[in-house]
Amino acid sequence: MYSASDLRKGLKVEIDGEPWVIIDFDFCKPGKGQALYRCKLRNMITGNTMDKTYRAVEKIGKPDLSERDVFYSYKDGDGFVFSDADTYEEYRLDKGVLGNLVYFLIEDMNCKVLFFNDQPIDITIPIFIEKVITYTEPGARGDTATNVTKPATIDNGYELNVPIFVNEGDVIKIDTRTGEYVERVSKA
Amino acid sequence: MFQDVCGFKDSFIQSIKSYFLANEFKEVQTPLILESPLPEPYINAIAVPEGGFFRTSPELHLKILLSEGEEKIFEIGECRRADEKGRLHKESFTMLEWYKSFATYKDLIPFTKNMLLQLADELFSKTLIEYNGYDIELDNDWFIISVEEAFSRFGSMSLDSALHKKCYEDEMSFYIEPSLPKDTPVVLYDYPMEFAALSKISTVNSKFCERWELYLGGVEIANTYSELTDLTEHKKRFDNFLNVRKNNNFDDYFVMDAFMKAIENGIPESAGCALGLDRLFMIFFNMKSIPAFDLT
Repeated sequence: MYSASDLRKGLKVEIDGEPWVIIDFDFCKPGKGQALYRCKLRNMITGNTMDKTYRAVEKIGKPDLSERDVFYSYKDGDGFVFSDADTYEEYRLDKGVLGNLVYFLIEDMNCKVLFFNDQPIDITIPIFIEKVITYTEPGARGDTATNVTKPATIDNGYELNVPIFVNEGDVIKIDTRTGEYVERVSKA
Repeated sequence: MFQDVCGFKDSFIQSIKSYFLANEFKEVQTPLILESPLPEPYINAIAVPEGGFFRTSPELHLKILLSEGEEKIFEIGECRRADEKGRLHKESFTMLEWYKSFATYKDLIPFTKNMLLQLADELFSKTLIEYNGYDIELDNDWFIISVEEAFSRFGSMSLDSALHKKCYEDEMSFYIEPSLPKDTPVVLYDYPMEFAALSKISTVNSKFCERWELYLGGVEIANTYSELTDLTEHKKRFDNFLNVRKNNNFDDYFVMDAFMKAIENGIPESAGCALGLDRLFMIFFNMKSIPAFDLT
């Protein structure tokens, strides 16, 4: 258990059986009164946020969280299978946990999976990945404006905006945090 | 614009000292380490590995000096409090504390105002302080309001309900303090007896004590009492404080013998004020949080 005085921004706690992370923290202590530990928390599974104020006497649960190194193996129906980098044990993550990241998985890619009570709840994948453009309209010749973009599709159907000079078959770099185009790596 | 505010700390401290000396106060230095700290309900001391505790304020020894005949004294020095960390708190901070005999709490309002006016004038040649997007005119009429009135004006409930529902601190921190005027200094006065600490019971209404706090830009800066002098009432308060500490599983303290002897021998009717210099410095130099460096 944590004491109220352990609370700080970034600390992960357990409330009503769910893991929460403190995203904002303020220590208040009106003259001669009790200390108040005011937290803004985000649910690590649902993403919901809430405010909660603790007092010095309160104890706060410590979540059983662990992070493991894994690599992406294969898609299995609606799930995605990752293998433990040390033990090769397989973990199946649902689409819900991955969200948009499902489009950026590459076989054997090194990732980190966060487990809460042995259930995978979150994944961290490399920030930059490279993908081949499978479809995009050719850019109009002579259009050199750099801020003009057009839609493009990668192999798994994910669509993003790319600069007008990018063509089918080009390899581009994508930022997996935003899902946006970063730069062209090589020409077709 | 970046400004190395640390360079101003000497003139800041010097200006405050010169105000007290000009007003015939004697500067004193009392011990940093005590056998046992003042057993206030919600202030926890840091133990010294070799024995004893760092003082949480210089109150005990300054009152011992009052009992020995000192009438106007001030101290600027380090104090430490456990588990107090944040934008407005650090475990080791600098306190200005002064006592004036034959004075009551309200006598210290104009005295404190004059100190701030002199400090601002000496540092900036003006009495307007810019802090956190507000212009605080120190020379304005100060906004002086009782705690009970502040609750009825700014709170989500009356002071009585807040005490009854045990959410006085929440109301104070989340409703009252954020609603206080920011363009002028604010004095909240006459606190409920539950938060009297070592202040006198009000002669007007025994539900309240003679205590005020100063706010600048919504930040609590200073705490003042008409000092409790009665021995029996001291014993009653300490029993109560130690009980609250026990119920909260806080460390068990005792009251230093030398302090109880001082009260037994008698201290004159006095008013005393403790002012957080780190916070005052933060406000005067428009910093986002109290300085990380030590002021002394």
